[in-house]
Amino acid sequence: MGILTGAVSVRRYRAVGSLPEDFRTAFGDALADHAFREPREWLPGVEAVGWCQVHNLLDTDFGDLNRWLYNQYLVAAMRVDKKSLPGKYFKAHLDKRVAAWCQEQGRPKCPGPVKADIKDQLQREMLEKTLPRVATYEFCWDLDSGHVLFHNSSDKVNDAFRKLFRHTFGVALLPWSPLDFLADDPQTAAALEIQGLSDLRPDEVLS
Amino acid sequence: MSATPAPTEAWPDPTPAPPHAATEFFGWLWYASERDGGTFALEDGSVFTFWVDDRLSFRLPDEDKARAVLTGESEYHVTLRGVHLDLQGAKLPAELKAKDAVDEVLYERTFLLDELWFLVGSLYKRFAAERTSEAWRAEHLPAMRRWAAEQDEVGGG
Repeated sequence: MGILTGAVSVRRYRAVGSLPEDFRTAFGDALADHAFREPREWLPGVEAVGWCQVHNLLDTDFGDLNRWLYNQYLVAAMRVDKKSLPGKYFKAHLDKRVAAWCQEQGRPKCPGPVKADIKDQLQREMLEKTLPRVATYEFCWDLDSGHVLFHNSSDKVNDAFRKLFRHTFGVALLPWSPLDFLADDPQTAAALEIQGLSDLRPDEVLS
Repeated sequence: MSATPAPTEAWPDPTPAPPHAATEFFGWLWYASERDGGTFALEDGSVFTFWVDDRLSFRLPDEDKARAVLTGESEYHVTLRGVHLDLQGAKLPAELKAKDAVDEVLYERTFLLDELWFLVGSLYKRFAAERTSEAWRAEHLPAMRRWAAEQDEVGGG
């Protein structure tokens, strides 16, 4: 919970796009539309992704804006759930089921399509009884400055965050570049970019 | 029903930051922390000190990082990592605790993160000014190379 306690690991973004006039209502509805929801049915390897409150990952109701909007700061967390089955354990059960089918049908071998159906059914049954692996990643959006701090620096997780953010708020996120520090000095930024690239020669580095 | 506002602008593709914009900064940061005794004056006249707390490790550009400590009235410990200058494991000098009012805790930590980001940005601006100056090739780069060679000798490499 880096947003409210502990050490902080963040990637910084700039939000690109204008806020709607009624952003409190619009964003509350948008968060509700993209809130985390337990899937009706789990499929192996498939992730369920959506927003939850930073206070508790089970809180996915965004009706009370006092729980996600603090002055100009919009805070929430991306919740990612995934269920997976232990491979050896699943295979052992599958072999038993296939063997039972063969015995019941009096056939020496189970046809491929039948085995696929048995596997699919077994996956559904076992996934239903399995607890998901749950992860949450917080973010804080300063609506005044347009900066967003996302509390994770994995590229994969950041990609998922940018996608969900864009679909939710209609706003794109640009990852921070060090050159952004030089936004008020474009000449130096351009010179730094060009000089750095022109200097990238092995003989320069190694000499 | 969806209340998601319609996008008003085309989605920009993420423009990757040039790798050298971060890696050169990390090297300079270490050098400058020793050259200047880690003392850095801001434009408003206030002063903070910084030092690199651990060795810089250069691997792939995305994995470059520098662990730095920045102190003014407060002390921050932070690892800067990768082309986006991600902050990792930043320890903030926060006074409020998680049991305090959520909004107060959030405001304090956001303020401290902004201050930390401002300090990093100030250092970056100084680096950019030196890197793009005419004195870079004549003075700064040779001095950095001498310093790097000294570090190599001290380190026994």
